[in-house]
Parts: sequence; C-alpha cells; structure tokens
Amino acid sequence: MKSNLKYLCLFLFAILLLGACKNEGELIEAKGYGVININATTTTDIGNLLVDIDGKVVDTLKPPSAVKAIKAYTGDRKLKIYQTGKEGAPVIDTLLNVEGKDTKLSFLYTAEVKIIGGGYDGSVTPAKGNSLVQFVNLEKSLPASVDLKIYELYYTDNGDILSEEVTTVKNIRKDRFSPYIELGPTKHGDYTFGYYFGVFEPGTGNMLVDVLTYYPTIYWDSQGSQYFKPNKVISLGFVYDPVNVFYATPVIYDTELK
Amino acid sequence: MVAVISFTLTGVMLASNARSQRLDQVIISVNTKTGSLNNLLSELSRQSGFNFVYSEELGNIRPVALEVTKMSMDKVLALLSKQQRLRFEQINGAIAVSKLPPLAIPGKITGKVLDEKGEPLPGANIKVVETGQGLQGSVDGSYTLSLAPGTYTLEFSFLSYQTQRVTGVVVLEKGNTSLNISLKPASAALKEVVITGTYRKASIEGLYARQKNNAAMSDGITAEQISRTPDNNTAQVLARVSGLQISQNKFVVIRGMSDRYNNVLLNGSPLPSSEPNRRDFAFDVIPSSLVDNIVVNKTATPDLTGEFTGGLVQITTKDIPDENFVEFNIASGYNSRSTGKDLIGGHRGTANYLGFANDYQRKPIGMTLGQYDDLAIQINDRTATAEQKAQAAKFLSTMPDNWALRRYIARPIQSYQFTAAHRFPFKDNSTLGIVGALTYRNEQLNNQHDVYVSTVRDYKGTDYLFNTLWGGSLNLAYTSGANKFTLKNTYNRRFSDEYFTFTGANMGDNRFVNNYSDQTVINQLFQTNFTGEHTLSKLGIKGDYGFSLSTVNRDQPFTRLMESGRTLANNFDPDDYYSYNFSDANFQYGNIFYSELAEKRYTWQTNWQLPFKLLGLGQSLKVGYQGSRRQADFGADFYRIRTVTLDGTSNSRYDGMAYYDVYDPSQFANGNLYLFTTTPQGDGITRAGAGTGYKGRQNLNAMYGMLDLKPLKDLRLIAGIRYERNEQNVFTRTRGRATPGGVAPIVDSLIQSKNNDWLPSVNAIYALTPKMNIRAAYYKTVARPDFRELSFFSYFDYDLFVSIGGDNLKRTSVKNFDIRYEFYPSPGEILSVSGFRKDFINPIEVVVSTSPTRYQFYKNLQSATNTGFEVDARKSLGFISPSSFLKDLYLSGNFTYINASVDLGTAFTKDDDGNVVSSKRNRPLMGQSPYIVNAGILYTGKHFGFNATFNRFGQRIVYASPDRAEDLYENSRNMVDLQLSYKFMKGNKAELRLNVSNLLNSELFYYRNLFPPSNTKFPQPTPSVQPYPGEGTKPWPAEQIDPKGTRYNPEYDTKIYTWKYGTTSTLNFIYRF
Repeated sequence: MKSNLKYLCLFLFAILLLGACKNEGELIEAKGYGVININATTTTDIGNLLVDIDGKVVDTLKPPSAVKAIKAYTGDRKLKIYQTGKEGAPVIDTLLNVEGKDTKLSFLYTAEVKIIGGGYDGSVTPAKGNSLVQFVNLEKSLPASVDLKIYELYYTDNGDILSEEVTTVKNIRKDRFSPYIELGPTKHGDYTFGYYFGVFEPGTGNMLVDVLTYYPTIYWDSQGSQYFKPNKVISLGFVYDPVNVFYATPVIYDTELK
Repeated sequence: MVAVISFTLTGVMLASNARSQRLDQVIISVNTKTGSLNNLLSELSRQSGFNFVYSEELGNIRPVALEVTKMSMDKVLALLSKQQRLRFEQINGAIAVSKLPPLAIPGKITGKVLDEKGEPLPGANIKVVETGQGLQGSVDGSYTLSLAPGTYTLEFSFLSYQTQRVTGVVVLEKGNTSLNISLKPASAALKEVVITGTYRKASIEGLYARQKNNAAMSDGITAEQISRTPDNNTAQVLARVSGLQISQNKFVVIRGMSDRYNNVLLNGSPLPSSEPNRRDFAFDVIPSSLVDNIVVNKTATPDLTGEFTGGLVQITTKDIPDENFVEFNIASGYNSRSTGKDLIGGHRGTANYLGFANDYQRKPIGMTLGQYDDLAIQINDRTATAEQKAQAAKFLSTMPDNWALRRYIARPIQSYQFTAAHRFPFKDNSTLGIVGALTYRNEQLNNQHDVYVSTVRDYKGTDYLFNTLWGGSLNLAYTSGANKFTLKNTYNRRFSDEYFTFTGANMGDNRFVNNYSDQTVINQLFQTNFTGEHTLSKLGIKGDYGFSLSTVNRDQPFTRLMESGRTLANNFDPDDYYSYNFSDANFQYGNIFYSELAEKRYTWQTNWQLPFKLLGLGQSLKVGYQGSRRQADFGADFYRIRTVTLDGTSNSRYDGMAYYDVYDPSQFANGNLYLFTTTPQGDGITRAGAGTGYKGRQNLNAMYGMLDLKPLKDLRLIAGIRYERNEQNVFTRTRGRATPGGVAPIVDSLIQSKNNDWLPSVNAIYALTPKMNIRAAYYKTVARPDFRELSFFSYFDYDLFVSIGGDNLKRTSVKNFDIRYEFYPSPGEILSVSGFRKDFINPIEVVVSTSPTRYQFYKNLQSATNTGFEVDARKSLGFISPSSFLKDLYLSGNFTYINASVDLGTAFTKDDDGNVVSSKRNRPLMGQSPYIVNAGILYTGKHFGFNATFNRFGQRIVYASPDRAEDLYENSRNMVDLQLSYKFMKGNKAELRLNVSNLLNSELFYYRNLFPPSNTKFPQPTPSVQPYPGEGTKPWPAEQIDPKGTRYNPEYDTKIYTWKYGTTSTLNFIYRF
C-alpha cells in the first residue's frame, strides 16, 4: 500500500509536470505600413476629392492634379475617393491590396471622363533612347477635339527664346487618350528648355493656346521634370489653371521602360 | 497446582480431560472468512475437546479468517496468535485466551559526541546501561542507537575524558531522540569519576557546546533546527541565520557586504557561481531536508579559505540520514503582477519547461561565429567578394526566426521536490547511507521595469521572465569505526528567458522607440566531492582528505535587441509607423550577442588534527594543505545589425515595415543585412570559434598551521597562519596601440598575477560564565578579482543599457578586527554585541567614467575602511509562561551599522576640467549598506507554524564614480515575508505551507543625486550633492545641496531604473512517508 502510494505520487508529479507545458503563444501582430501612390488628375469644377481608407479620411486631392504618397497598413484596405459632400457617390470605391512602398493608383476624373488605372499596355514600343507621349484634353473651355503642335523651345546666346516645331498630333479628345507619339532627345543640348506644345482648332488651324503665352510643358515624370527622359511612356492631360494663369499638364501615367 | 505452559514455544503440556492433552496430536480443519473469534473458538472446541476461556469482549473480535485443513491444533493456535495478536495458555483441558500487547516498533537515539570545544570526538564509546548494548561513534562523532520504546540511561566514554551518564533518555515508538553530548576532559584527579546528569541537562550542554564553542565568530543552523522550521529550500533556511539576508528569494547577502567579499563552500568545496555576472549561487535549488548544517563564519581561522571578509557560508548536506524517509513537496504559487496575466515571449515549446533551449534559441549554423567574423570584417572593409558575401548571407540565413513576440498567459509558479534517504546498518557496526533529492521549479513572471536617464532616455517597460530550474543531489557515505568515506554530487540546471519590452523617448536623437531585448541563458552546474575521514589512534588524531570537481557551463545562445522608432516631434506619420536604423555602428539600434562559458575547478585538500594535553587541559594542533586548479574558457560575439550596402535607401527601405519582417532571416539571406563586428576570429586566446572573450587559468595552493590552545580554563586561543600562493593568468584580446591615422589593432594580451599571501589570524574566546563569552579576533583575508574582471572583455547589460569592461586589477587585501560579547540565555537563544573594523587595500569597484565617453569598468581604488557594530538577539517568549505556546515563540533581531570611507587613489584626483580634487569620500564601498535591519517572529507548534520577517538595508552603491553625483545608488526599502504552516494526518506526515514573499510589494529603484525634471529651481540633471567634496574644493550653494545627503530625496534625486515585482504567494503540500 505504502509503495503504491509512492508510485501514485510519482505518477501525479509526472502528469502535473507535463500537463503544465504549453507549447506556443499567440502571435502579437505588428502592423506594417505600405505606401499608396495616388496620381489624381481632375478639373477645378470637380473640386477637392477626399481620400478615405478603412472609413477614415486621411488626405485631400486638390485639382487639377495631385500626387500623394499615403501610408496605409499593408493587406487589403478599403479605399474610397469622393467629392466633398458626395460620399454616397464615390469616384473610387475599391478594395486595394497594399504591399510595399509602391502600390499605385492613378485615375483621371473630369465631367467627361473617368479612367481608373490604365496606362501603358506595352502595345507600342519606342526606339531605344526615345519615349512615347499621349494626351487628353481636360479643359472645359476648349472644343471637344483639338490639334497639338509640339515644339522644342530653346534659347540663343543673345537670350532670345525660339521655338522649333517638331510634330503635330491631331484630334485630341476629352473622353480618351490620343495615340502615342514618339519623341527623341531634344536637339539643342544645353540651350534647350524641353518640349512644349500649342493647341489649335482642327480644320481652321486657329491657335487656341499659344505656346509662348501659356507654356504648356511636356513633363517627363510626375515630379515635373521638363527635360527629356529616354525610355519613358507618359500620359499627359492639359487644363487651364486659373489660379496660376497657365496651362497645367498633369502626368496621369508614368512608365519607365527597362 | 496448575501448570501453565506456553505451547507455542515448547509444545509441552499437561494431561486434561480432553481427547488428547497433546495439542500437536489434535488435528483440526476449519474454513471461516467473516465470523467472529467466538465462532471460531467454538468450532475449535468442538473439534478438539478443549475448553477456551476468554472475555466477552475478545469473543466479539471480527472478522477472523482461518482456512486450514488437517493441521495440528498447536499450529492452528500459533497461526491465530500471530494473526490476531492473541496469547493461548493451556491449563489442563482448558485454554485461556488473552490479548497480547501491540508490537512495539523501535525508536532511535541519534546525535554527536563532542569535546568541550564543540569538536566531534571520533570513536567514542556509547553504552545502553539497561540492555548492555554498546557501539562506537563514527569518525565524525555521530552515533545512532535503535532501541525498543522505553526510558534508558546512556553512558558515554572516551580516552582522557570524563565518562558521562545520561539518565531519563526517552525513546518513543518510531521516534528519534536527539542527544548531542559534550564530554569534559579528565584531570588526573578525576580520572575515574563518572558524571551523571539528566537528558535535558546533557542535551542542553551539547547544544551549547556547538553554539558557544566555535573557534570563529559564527552563526549557524543544524538539521534538527531546520526540521522545526517550515522552510523547504536552503535559501529560506539561510534567511534564519543572523546577519544573512536573501535577495530575490535565492541569493544570499552577508552582513550587507557585496558578493565580492563573501564566499560559499558546499561540502567543503568552493561553489562555482550559478550567475553570469556575479559571484553568487541560487540557493533555492537545494531542498532544506538535504541540509545537515549551515555555518556562517564571520571571522577567519587558518583552516578556512582566505577569500572572504563579510562571511563564509559553509553548507554541509546529509550523508548518512538519522532515519529513512521519502518526502514529496508539491507547490503552486501566485504572483500578484503576473499569474493569469500576459506573458510576452518568443517561441517556447516543451523544451523550455524542461530547462533546455529550443530550436529558436540557438546560434546560426554552417560555420563558427569566429569564421563568420573574418567574413564580416571584409564586408565592413568593402573587400568581400561576391562569393564571400554569399557565404555570409547563407550562414546568417540560418539564424532562427524568433523575432516575433507572442502572447502567453503566465502560469502559476510550480515547484516539485522529491527527497529520499536511507541508511543501511550492517552487522559489523558499519553503515551505508544514501540521500538523494530531485527538484523542479518553473516560474513565469512579469516585472515593471522603467528607465529614466536625464536628457538621454525615458522608457516605460516590462520584464517578462520564464525560468525553469531543476536539479538533483545524490550523496553516498560509508562509515565503519574510525573511518568514513563520502561521495556527494550536486547538479542543477537553470533555463532563463527574459524579454524586456519598452517604449519611450531617446532624447539624444529625438526618437520615440518601441523596442525589446531578449536574453536566454542556460546555466549548468555540477559538483562532485569525495572525502575520507579517519581517526588514527586512541589519541584522537584526526585526518581528512578530499577531492572535488566543479563545472559550470553557461550558454547565451541568442540574446538580442530589437530597435524600432519614429521621430519624436514634428512627425506627420502615424504613431505606429516605425523606421529602423542599420546604417551606423551604434549597438543601441539593434544587436545580437552570443556567449559561452565552460569552467572547471579541481580542488584537493587534507587536514590533520593532533590533540594533546598541556597544563592539564585539552589542546590541539592542526595543519593542512589545500590546492585548486581552475580553468575557464569564455567566448563572446557582439554584433551590430547593419546594412551591407550603405546608400540612400539603407534605412528607408524598411520604413513602415512590421519589425518582424525587417528583423527576419530572409533579410540576411537576401544580402541586405549582416552582422557587423570589428573583432576578427580569436586565435586561440578566446574560446574556440569566438571573436572575443578570454581564457583564464588559476592555481591556488594553500598551507596552514594553527594551534587551538587553552592557556587557562576559561580562555581559548586559536591562532595560526595560512599561506596562499595564487597564480592567475588571463589570456585576453584588447585594442593595441594605433599607428598614426590608423585604427588600433586587436592584440593578444596576457594578464598575469602571482601573489604570495601570508594570512595570520588570532581568535580569542574568554568564557565569562558558562553562558557568556567575550571574543576578539584579528585576521587578514584577500578578495581576488575574477577572470572576467581581469580580461578586457566588455559586457553589455541589456537591463541597464551600460557596458562593463575589465581591467588589469590587483587583489584586495583586508585586515579585520572584531570584538564580540555573546550571551546564550538558553539553547537557541542569543544576545550578542559586536564591533568590527576592516581596512581594505586596493578594493575593487565598478567605476563610471564620464570622460571622454560614459563607460563602466572594474577598477582598484587605493583603500577603504569600514568601522561598525552589530547587535544580534534571538529570544523565546517562554520566560513569560514556560508551559504555554509562548515557549515555542521566538523573536529575533539583528542590526548592523557601518561607518565607511574610501580613498579613490591618485588616478582620481582631477575632475573632468582638470582641477585638482580630493580622492577621499565618506561612503561605503560599492554593494555595501550603511545599515541593515532584520527582525523576525517565529512560532513552531505541534501542528501550526508561523514566521514573519522584516528586512531593510541602507542605500548602497551599484556603480561608483569619482563624481559623486554619478554614483548610482540602490534605494533602501522595506521587505516583509510571511510563512504559515499546518501539519496534519497521523504522525504529522502531511503539511500545508503558505509562503508569502515581498508582501509590501515595495518598489526597487536605482537613483542618482541629480535634480529630477520635476524640480523647478534647478534643471535636470544638475547635481544635488557636491560632485568633488573635500579640501581645496569650493563648497556649493546651500540651496543646491540635498539636506538628506546621498539618501533618496524625491525633490533632489532622479530615479534611473525602477522595478516592481509583485507579491508572491506559494502553497506547498508536503507528505513524508
């Protein structure tokens, strides 16, 4: 009996010891942040757009063009972008998978057009060292279709600014992007200002936007670099900016070719 | 005349009118299982013709089971007699039946035969007068007599000593009567005299002999005293010894002195430290039932090691037990801060519960860290080839993925203890004893841990601790006459995992941090110890010898600091958006540390004692030799986590990422991160396969001679000298001299120390009365630096955020003077008043240097002096009412006061601006308190026990500095522990015991004498004490000086580190078979 009791105690000891050994704890999740790079192109009549992530307004997109890097938790995020006071009719309402620092969202929203995403599809390829450019007309006061003449502006040793016509792009519409045109490096080296364009009425050829008055510029990235960059594909809008009294040319899509 | 014959013994009988009067001729067959004795005897009477005579009460005994077939009547009755404890007496044709008394189980008398100085008398003769039974005591004076219950007279005799008879020694059934006896030397005139005394008188004298006659000033506790306390581990027992305090429920603090000035011997051999950065041992691993006695020497004699100043704790574990027993102790505990609450940690698994690391707590594999160091140096220098980078990345990718924090619920503290002891007495009066114990303990705790360093950091944090400790002891001993051999083995293993999570501000770089560190330490300790003791002749020449081996292995496999943060001000990022810094060499932005220590210590010793007579009084000469060889191999690697490519995206690529996606083996595998070091692989100077560390070798040889003289009847002098030759060699690596414009290279160094120390000591004891002594002592001791302190290895303290480095240190020499009056009102009681002075030459402190950078390192000061007094009292309240419970109620108290001063020496005679300042400070050495208060109340009744202790020590320096405002102090605090116990079941075999520790849950904090941020008059961190006091220094304005001096004053001082541990209650169930 006595020795049985000893064995019983040893058995209980072993059970208690092993029973107490819990294996793994619950992982304490640490939330990581990614970056949503929003490139919004709109018009002044649309007004400000609010950015709402998971039910919380985190930023404002101002017309006509806004480039924002918004920090958001990684994983699926509910993203809504809407005009002030129009939460019920959002411009964008989507579930976005945020990963790393380069989750891109580009959109174009005007009274005539709403293009979300899109951009270069790879169907056209420029020659090595050249770049592709396409346009969309975002200005309400301009006709539904216009022609563009693209110039290289440069200056002389005397300080004169001169323009040299490079090419013409016809039938630029408000509801879609034009076909790509291919541009090579500017020709005037250190004297160049880059590529600019003027807007003309189709058929009559009347000048609607003078290149040397409003300086509509072909930008080569969303940071507003005016100097030609090779191996790029750029989608540009043009719209009058009454605040700064000039034509803004927001970069709606920006793709770098490998 | 009627003849009565016991048939069971002789089978002889007389004729009767039965069929046959010879019981062996009467054949019986019976089969009964549940009937009464009445029924059975009727049946036997029917078959045999005998009449049975018995009382009615006897006849009602049931059930009586008997199954026999054709068995003779005498055998049937013999069977029945054995079964039912009955006595049958045949009277002619009748058989009288009566009840036999129950069988008596023998009890024991155990004890020791001592001489008048309390020393064991080996081989003394012990005789039981009533039975004539005799035996000879063993070589250590102990004896055990097994006797039937009763009252006896014992006679003790030994050559040249008066024979002593002790009457009235009561032996109870299964009981153990303790009797230590002190014999008096026989003078020529009294040679034939036999002294007769009572048991009570003799046992009291025996206790006095041990308590009062120790050669050195000492305190202690015996197994018999321990058995009356509710303690279940040695740490709790030590807390009862006067002058001792227990910190963190396991470490011992002796007379307020730091561990540097104390020493611990387990079974006579030095005990290696169980802790990484202190000379300390966790005593909670040794069950109290294993302890035979603990003696704490407060003064030295030549036969003791010369390496202690505060106290020497000598723990002797049992070898031959007084009685056989098996004991279980199952305990569960609750901590008010932790149990049932969150416990944060990494991967755990079953291995951690068993005291082992799991697969997530290991080094990377594929090459040694030393080999990796060579690759890392090339990556640092941008000279690594792509192949070398790939090799490094492959190696680092094998680092365990254990960075993510996990949430557990802290389990109750669990503790199990199993102890068994058995003695095997042989016919030739020799005995073999075996004592073994197994212990297991697991605790899961969380402690508050905050850090505030003025203008540097302000963190709020929590320590999450997971500790598993298990160990075992196995002691074997054989004693035969004047010889005794013992083999004692102790092993323990401790697994400790501490996560320190903290958030707060780094004011220096305007950063809010969200960090944690994790320190996993696996510690193993083993000691085996063989001793032989012999008495060579009837003259009582005693000799002993011993060999021991101690090993310590400590592995720190994956200690690390995870750093993440964000800009503190003007930050538009979300609050939980963290960035990382891997671009520079600053270790506080993320690091990993590995270390491994293997230490072995061999010791051997022999001691010989020759007693002789002089002036008609017993004297003795003792000589001995003790040697030890110690070797320690330590390797460590400390790495900064850094990016391989230093470009604009080195840090920003990780911005916003979850910390466990950044600190992840994949980031090392893809070549983004690597472990940065500046130290290449060690070339044999450190432990193999490591970058830094040391190899330490120590040979210590000691010889001594001492005389124990009684020039007068009441005066005893113990004087002698001890010679110690110590050789310490530490091979280490340090920075050498830099060439102009170059980086100082890593060079090998040998730190060598050879010393011959002559350590004289004199202890004088004058017995004013049989109950009073006056003692005086002078002795010289040393405190030698440890290997780590001599090496240049610098250790980063993850709790305090400081690095501590070694130096080329000298040993500390200490001259000690003690005087003590002691009064023993009755056994177990004491009143003593002591005064002492200690002069330290070259004492060692950890000194904080603030110039050119803040750095902590071990340093010799020039000298220090401690002068103080100690009052110690322990008293039973039995004098109020000797027959009431008060006789078992003891009050105890102990107060120590130290007045101390230090001289920092010539290296510290200039302040940071180069002005000449005094090197003298009126303060105790690091780790010492200016005062200590201990008080306790203990009640031990037959069933119920109660114990409460109060403890307080004065503020003590943790790290010192030439600048007094930089001295880091540990604040004094009040601590109260309680113990309640209740014994129950037959023979008090079972016990419930409740231990409550840290009842007041008082805060532990370190502080500096610098104005805190809350002070409106002086900006932090303005000093609130004069940094360089003394001659030649202009006194500071009175309003800037803290009126409380260096004591904590919240308006004047800044709390730097704060901990809160919670109250722990543990319920034990103990059962003894």
